[in-house]
Amino acid sequence: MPIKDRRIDRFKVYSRRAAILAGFKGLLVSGLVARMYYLQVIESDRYQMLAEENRISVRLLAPLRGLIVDRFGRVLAANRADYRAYLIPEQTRSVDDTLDALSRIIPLSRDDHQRIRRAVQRQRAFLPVTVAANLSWTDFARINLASPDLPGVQPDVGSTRYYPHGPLVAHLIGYVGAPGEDEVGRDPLLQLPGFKVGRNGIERTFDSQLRGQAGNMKVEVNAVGRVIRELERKNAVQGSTVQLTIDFELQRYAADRLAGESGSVVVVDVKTGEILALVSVPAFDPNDFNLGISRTKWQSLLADKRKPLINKAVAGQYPPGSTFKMAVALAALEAGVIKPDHKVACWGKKELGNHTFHCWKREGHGVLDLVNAIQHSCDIYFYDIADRVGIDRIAEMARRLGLGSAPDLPIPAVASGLVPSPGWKLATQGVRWQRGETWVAGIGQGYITATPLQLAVMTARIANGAHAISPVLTVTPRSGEAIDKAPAPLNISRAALDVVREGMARVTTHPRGTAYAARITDDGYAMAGKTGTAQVRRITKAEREAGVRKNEEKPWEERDHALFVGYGPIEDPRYAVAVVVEHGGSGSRTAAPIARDVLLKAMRANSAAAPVDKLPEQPTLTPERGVDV
Amino acid sequence: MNVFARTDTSLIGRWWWTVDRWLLFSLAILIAFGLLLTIGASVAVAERLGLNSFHFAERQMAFLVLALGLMFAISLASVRTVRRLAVVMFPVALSLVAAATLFGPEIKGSQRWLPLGGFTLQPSEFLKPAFIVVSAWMFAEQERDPVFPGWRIATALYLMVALLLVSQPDLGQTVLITVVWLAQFFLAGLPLFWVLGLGLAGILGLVAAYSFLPHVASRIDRFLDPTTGDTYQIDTALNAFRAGGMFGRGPGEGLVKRVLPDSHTDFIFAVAGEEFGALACVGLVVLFAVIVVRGLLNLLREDDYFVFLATAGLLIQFGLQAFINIAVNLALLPAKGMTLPFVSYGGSSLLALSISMGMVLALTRRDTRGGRSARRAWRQAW
Repeated sequence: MPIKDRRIDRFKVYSRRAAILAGFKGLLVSGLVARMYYLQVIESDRYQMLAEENRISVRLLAPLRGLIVDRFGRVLAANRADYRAYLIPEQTRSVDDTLDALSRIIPLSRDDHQRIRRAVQRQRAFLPVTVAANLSWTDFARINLASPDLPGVQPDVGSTRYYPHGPLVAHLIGYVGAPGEDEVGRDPLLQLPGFKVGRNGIERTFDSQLRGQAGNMKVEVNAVGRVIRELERKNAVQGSTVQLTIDFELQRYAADRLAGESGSVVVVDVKTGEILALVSVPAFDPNDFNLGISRTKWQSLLADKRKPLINKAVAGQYPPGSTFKMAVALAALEAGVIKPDHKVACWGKKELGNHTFHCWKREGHGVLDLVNAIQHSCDIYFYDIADRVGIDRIAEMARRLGLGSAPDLPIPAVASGLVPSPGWKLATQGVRWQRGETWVAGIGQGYITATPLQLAVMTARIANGAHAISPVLTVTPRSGEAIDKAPAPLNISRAALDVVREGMARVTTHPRGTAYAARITDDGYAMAGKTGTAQVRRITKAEREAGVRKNEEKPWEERDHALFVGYGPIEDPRYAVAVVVEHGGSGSRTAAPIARDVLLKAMRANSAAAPVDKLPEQPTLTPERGVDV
Repeated sequence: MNVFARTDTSLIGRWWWTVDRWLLFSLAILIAFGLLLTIGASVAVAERLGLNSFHFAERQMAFLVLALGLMFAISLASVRTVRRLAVVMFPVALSLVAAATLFGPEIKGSQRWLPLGGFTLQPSEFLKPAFIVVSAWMFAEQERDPVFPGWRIATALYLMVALLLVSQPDLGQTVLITVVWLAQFFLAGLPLFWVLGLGLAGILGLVAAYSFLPHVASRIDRFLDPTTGDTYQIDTALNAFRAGGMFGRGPGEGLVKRVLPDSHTDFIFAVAGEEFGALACVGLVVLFAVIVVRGLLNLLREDDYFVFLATAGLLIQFGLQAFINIAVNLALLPAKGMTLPFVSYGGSSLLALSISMGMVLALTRRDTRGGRSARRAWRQAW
């Protein structure tokens, strides 16, 4: 083959092969284009549909907290509209300008400014930042009015807990607060901004019942999570109402009656044990705790020597003083160591070894039987019978009357008081029980302490006579608790109780009874009772010789506690009352009149009438605007 | 275009009138679009790595200035100069590749890079054009003088290069250079028996790579059966294309670049797919095709055998590299470390490509070839 032909042949081969390669290239390119068509046109449509499924977002709706009402349906804890203002950063031209404009309408502290800026930086620009909460209606209206000049500020109405009678029921109901960080993790509901949980009192014990069920709202959101429209809504279910046994009018009356003092009043239904009033003064305003209490307010509450934060009705433990004499009398009668006609001569003092025990009346009472001894509250008589019956049987009777153990109530810090015994003393102090200590216990002094609630229960059991009723605070049963607990029998003989009740009746009805001045003269409302004056500190021998100072001359902290327990009406007892006025001086002068007034009020108003069945609905939150929350 | 008068006989003037302006404009558009994408994607990557937002963008622009100068300078050269350049570059690049393989730091399981001050050099990028031109010369020499053992020399050189690349290991580049070399061989008139035999050998080579190189095995496993391993990169890339649809989310609106590693290098095409949509992606593919096809069409009129083989090799390498990168992005091929020419971020790749394309521009210029007399001799031989 000539060389030229070979070259032409070769060249044809090259061209052909180049064409094959080019065709191959074209194949690759069409492969790429086909793949892109598949991915970006065909699959893209399917992908859009998949993305569509992600566009629905479910949001929680906070339930309204259940109401707390008294036995007649009066609202003690409600929800009220909370006027707030949000800032939506992306709707502002400049966050600083808007905040400046806003601070000309409502005061914003430096802390507020800092908090808002931090939140603005931290979260997405379309999510609201709370600028101000708990605004007054006036401020809220002014923000609404100025809204054209406040781009990005959005007024909003939420709900917050509200106690219309704040301090009057503060110790009972407690308050709500933001959930702690450890609680938040478990429940998505708790992560909702502004959601509160019960922090004290009934609010805490009944929190699960009061909380209600969260609703939810299905909303359409776009790719970055902004809400476009609402699709579906399941409203939240408000928490259930909790009904207390309290008669709020009685509660309010008792609190007013005690105003200015430091102390408590407890009224118990003698037949059922229902607590009709449980007052402790001074109190605090639970509304302050809602949005976080200020430091100064908190400090002043803590510093107050009259202890407004303590619920004295259940947590205050006082020597019962002479109000304990019924228990001593019952112990002696039931043990059979004395008969009701047992007589003791009182000459103002009685010796034990080298120690002298005094009667409150220095000149003495002369010869007394048991009824007289209760009527006059003679100390010598009770030294005598306490010595005869012994501390063990006194303690046993005290426990039977409800002292020495904490009643089961759905509020915190219910104290048990103390009923001492020789075994207790040896175990805790390592010292043997002294005979003189039995004497002191006979007049309700020494180691023995009781709470006002325990004293009211003791009185109710004496007045009831048949059943050892237990105190009850709520008509609504606690979740998972048996509704009906039949009270145990009291197991004290009718005869013994009659003698003691006769003595108590004489206290207020006999002209020489210790509380005759506080008697009730209205027909059918007569009251029986017993005064008590508990020494805060022992009177030393030197003081006694120098002449016992009158209470009015002592500093407040050293004055005696004034106590009174009573029940009424005498004929068919229905109400038992216990009053303790801290450092109030004398039981007959300070406590008895309060007890009389409260008892009379209860009897006249028929406080123990059956609780209402029909409970109120949640009142409209915002009468001004009627916004559905 | 009256920038240069027809009669302008200065160096630049002659260049302007002789260079293939279709090729030139296509490259210019590609480089501009590539820069746009690199800036967009690399800001997200730089922020994720905690660097200055424009860290990559600034470096890429600096390299681009260098690359454009280099490309222009080389495109001025004659065919002989191009050949000489390749002959000088080849041993240098080969020894650098060997150095990287032996002494280079291990990054993601392979030793491909040489640290060079603040810059990491990938010498294999420079080896590719040098090898292609040198082997084209060898084939052409054998054609000119059948006694010259050009095929054997080219085969020996190929085996050296392939051995070094496999031991790095860099399977992507090995496959690329093998295919280009085979294509050159094919164009040089390799008997069909050998074509089939070599094709078979290539498949055996891949099987061997799968058996003995664990990272290759894992990549291929993941490609063939997505459930065997982590397919995060490719899934994310595919979602980017799906999200982009026909017209894309819009420039800068892409979300994938915020989460996808290598979104400014190997997976930049996915970013383009998400932000600019299918139409722009097809446009980009067409641009690559135009560059390759235009270059190959020029060759149909070419009668210098060396120019024919060298240009075809360089263009096939360029086109194939683009194809492999895009195919990986579209999950048509298993993942490989292959850049998208002129679009991906990377200094070595950019400089090496500008050398390649500078050579292509130089080789495809009309009438000014250094071997004018040789061509005349060729014509006379017809």
